[in-house]
Amino acid sequence: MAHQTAHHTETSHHAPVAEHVEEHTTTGINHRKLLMWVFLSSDCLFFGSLIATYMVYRGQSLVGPYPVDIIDVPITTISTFVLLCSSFAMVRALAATNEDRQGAILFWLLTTAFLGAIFIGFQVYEFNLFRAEGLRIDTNLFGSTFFTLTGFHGAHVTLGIVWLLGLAWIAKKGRLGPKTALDVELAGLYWHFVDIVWIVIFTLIYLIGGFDTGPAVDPSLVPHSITGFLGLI
Amino acid sequence: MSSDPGVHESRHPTLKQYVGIAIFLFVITIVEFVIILPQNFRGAGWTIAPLAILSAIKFAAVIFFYMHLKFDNRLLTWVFLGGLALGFAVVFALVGLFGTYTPSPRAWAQANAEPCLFDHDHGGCVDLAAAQRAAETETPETPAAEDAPPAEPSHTAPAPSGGLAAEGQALFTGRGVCITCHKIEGVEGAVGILGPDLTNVATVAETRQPGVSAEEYLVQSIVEPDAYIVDEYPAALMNATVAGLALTDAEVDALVAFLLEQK
Amino acid sequence: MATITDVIPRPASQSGLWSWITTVDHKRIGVLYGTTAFIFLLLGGIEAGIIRLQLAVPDNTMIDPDTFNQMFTMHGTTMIFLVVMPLSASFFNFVIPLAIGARDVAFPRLNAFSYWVFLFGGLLLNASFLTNQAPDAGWFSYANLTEKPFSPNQGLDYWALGLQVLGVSSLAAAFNFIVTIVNMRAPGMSLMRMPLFVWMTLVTSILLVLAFPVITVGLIELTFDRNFGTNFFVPEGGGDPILWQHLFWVFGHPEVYILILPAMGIVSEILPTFSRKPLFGYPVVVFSGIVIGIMGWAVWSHHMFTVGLGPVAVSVFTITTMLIAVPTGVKIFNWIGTLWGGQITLNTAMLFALGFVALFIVGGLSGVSHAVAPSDNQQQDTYYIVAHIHYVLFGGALFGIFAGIFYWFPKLTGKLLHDGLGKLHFWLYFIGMNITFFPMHYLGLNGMPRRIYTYASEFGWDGLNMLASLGYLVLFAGTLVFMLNLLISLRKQPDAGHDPWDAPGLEWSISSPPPVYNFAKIPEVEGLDHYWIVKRRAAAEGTPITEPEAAVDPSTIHMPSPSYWPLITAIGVLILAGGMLYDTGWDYIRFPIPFIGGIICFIGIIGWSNEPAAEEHHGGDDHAGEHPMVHGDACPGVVAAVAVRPAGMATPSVRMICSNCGNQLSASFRFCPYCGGAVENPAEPQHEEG
Repeated sequence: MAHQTAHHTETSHHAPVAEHVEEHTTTGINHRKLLMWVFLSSDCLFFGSLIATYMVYRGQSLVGPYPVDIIDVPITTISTFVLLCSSFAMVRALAATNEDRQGAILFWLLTTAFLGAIFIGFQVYEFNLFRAEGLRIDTNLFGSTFFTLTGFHGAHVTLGIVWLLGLAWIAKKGRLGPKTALDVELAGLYWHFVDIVWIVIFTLIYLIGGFDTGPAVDPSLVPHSITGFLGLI
Repeated sequence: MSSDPGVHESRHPTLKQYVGIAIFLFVITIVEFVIILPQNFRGAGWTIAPLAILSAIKFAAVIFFYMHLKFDNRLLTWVFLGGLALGFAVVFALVGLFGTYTPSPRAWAQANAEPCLFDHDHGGCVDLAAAQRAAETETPETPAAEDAPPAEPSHTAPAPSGGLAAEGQALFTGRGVCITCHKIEGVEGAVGILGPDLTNVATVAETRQPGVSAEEYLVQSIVEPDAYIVDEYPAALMNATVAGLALTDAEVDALVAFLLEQK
Repeated sequence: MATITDVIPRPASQSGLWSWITTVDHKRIGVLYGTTAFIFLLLGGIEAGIIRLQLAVPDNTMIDPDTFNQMFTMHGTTMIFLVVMPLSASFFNFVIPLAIGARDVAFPRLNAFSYWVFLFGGLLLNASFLTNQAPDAGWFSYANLTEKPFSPNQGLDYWALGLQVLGVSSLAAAFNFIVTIVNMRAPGMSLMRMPLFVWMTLVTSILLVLAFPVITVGLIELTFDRNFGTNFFVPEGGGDPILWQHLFWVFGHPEVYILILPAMGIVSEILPTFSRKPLFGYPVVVFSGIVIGIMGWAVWSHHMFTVGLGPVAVSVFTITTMLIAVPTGVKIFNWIGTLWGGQITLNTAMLFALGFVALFIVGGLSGVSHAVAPSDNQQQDTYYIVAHIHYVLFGGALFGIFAGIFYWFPKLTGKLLHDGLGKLHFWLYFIGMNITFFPMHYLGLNGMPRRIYTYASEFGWDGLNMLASLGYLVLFAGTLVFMLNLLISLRKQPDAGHDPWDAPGLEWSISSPPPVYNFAKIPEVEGLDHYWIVKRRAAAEGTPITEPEAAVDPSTIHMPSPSYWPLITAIGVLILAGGMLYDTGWDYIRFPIPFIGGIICFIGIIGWSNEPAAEEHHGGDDHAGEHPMVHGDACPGVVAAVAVRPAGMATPSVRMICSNCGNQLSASFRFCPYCGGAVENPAEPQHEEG
């Protein structure tokens, strides 16, 4: 199982990842796994700050195009499906690793990476479409916050793809299995995290904020005012 | 926190459960999509709550099952939820601070502030109240403050509706802050370069748009600045200013009356 | 399979320069951190000296205003990010594994990576001096002064990128210490048996991990504003400069506790040792440290009372700020309670610890006076604030750190620092510090704004300014005495023995300096103040402990091997961030150099993950096998993910020009910020239409 500490019995000098010796930890949690979770916790604040910037500037763009002009919810719903599918592929990859089914490990890792690449493809398409329609990172506040937030999310996904491809390469050598399942599990944790960040971004930018227009003149209509935000929940 | 290795011996969900969760996530995403499908639901305030709740459910499903926090050491749940809660707190705090902060002080300032126009010659503020008083009492020589160039009497000529025009000038130089961006020769302080030069605006306005009288054009330019943008000048610059001023119809009339004198 | 690992042989030297460059030993990395930070302390001190020299007399024109701006900006940034934080990190590195009974940190190579990235970040920041473009917008660099039209040279880019690099270092180190403390404690060391310093390190690391991403985002947005024409903090584009203040202080206030909590931890170790009694109310001190860490997140806007947050926000932050003084006060009472009735030894370490308590009370009290918003409105941006920050950071953090240096120096080197010179050093610091900073309270209340480069004699600030400048000389002399003390003690002092203070911590049970493997046998911790318990019992049994744990053959204990990869990856991070300073001005590939850095990073990470944490072990069997110090190292993905943040995205951006003065502008400007002229796109030379 993934939570057994990874343990190499063979002493291959070309170990794909660091040699693991059964280690005792105070809490029983593997060091690397704890590190990963602390990192994800820290990344919550990273995306939290980017999202905060987006929310603060919602509906404050002085010039168009505004979200309502160019946000395409149906297309992005499809790419959201793709990312959700990739998360499913990821859990299959981990299960295959735990069960030592070599072919399945490689298949599901590559599937995950491929679906991630399709998501990135959608994002590249969307960015280019927005550029063509006149929204650039320096056009208005919507452009600045949108491209920064989704761009850094895309950078995270891209990094995840590179990571998965690296694992696939190791898997091709036949070095992934129950004893190194932690390597797959950590990549999986990162991948799922990127997925849940997208769930939040999709809801905020597309489903809720996708129909925003320019700045409201009447302060009581300012869409992000705390009363408007909380009063409805 | 336990050092008993048995505790973190996690159970993984079965394939069936994984597939079930995947279908669940799909269904929720479709429901979200359906919520915003009707045209008049889009961006409606009431959709925020269901959409937020649905995405929170998706979020929880992924972290507790796909990332198997549900089956893992409790410490990891605390580690992650701690960061997550703090992230949300920062978002809410900033949105709250900006939400409450943005409108109120500005509205207060607009309602209560004495407009201060920096006097480049003497330092400090130009005495607008005095200028206004002078405008009201000495209607014939309205803007002829001490150093107004005597060579341009035409710009100070009184119109029949002298009181209204004077009121307009007071607005133009005072609360309306028009002089920040617009120039009128002979009007003290009116040296801005961001908007069109209004020295001869009454004449020019006749010719801007065919079939639109000078008066109509001026009203439109004040109320809807972007309706017509003079070549080489930026759009959208005046919107916010005008919106913030909340001019009454009478004030617009006064401004137009004053501008129509600038022949 | 020919991997990179085969091409470059693993470093093997045990001594000499290369052994230091490739070291992964936490003790050596601690020394590297400490030495580097001390050099930066001298640099920051020289900058402070220039400031004080300029302000010593009225109407002084020794340096011009621009240089003065650079001096106070670099002084503040250096002292906070390059001195106090890394000096604390040097204690984390050296002390934590020893204090929890571990053989190294959880991720030794990640630890080396943190150090190299810190060093490169500091060099990148200070490289701005070489191009005569040092940052000059103050250590918190408020927008929109930091935007391109108002800071057109690259100083702020150096600042933002340097801080990003330092952030990578701090994050990596904090991840490492959280895992180390949570996961690598010796058997028996439950959370409530951890020494206070370990507790405070844990709280500090958690604060770092959560606070740094916020400033990372702020710096990214600032960099994008300056280089890609975004509008985050540009009012002309609808942005709000206040957002920068919020992002900065959401990070900045936890940062204040990141600076002071380690010093509090150090003092909480030293006071019990030299009072010969356990820390008074240990659980309460732990709890108040945690409460400070949590409440530190709810007070940031007290830096912004004069912004116009509205009465509700100001009231809320006033109350939370006053409340956070409570756990701080609790700690002070506990320290006093520890001293009460103790057999006090007044050596240098103890003097510095007592100085910390005294001066921190002064700084804490002036801090509470800022919490009152109406009073803060008077103090904002005056020398009163300067006095406060120096009482808590110099009188507080730095005194605590010096106490720690005197306390742990014998463990590090085997030699005691000379106590006579140490006391001279202490008194020079204590007196000099008060002469320098106490008058600033009066100066501030008499209206002297901070950051003015000179002042007229008529204001009546001459005397106190001269006094403050003279105080600087006393501090300078104190620093010289300390350096002299280091040199003399390393050569002349007799061996200190393994336990010169009869101290309670685990680290004192092993020889000084500690062997490379730290503990031959991992101790079973019996309680808080474990070594006192062991020593008292042995004395009662008539066999007092006089010797450290016996040494064993190092080759029998499996330790992590040195590595080049952390250094190579860190060089990649440096090029990744520093490369952003070179803008080709082309349409699509504006920033090519970061890609080179990215590739080096990538190679470094691949090499890192291909390399086992320790070389194959050919020695005898691992007789201390219950706690071998070998395992997988950091997930390379985490390194990459942390490192990718400052890289930003080299987004192509449309350049506009001013029709009037011809300056290049970003498309967000609808009129030129330099001359007010109309903006036009050179590609399509018509006016912009809304």
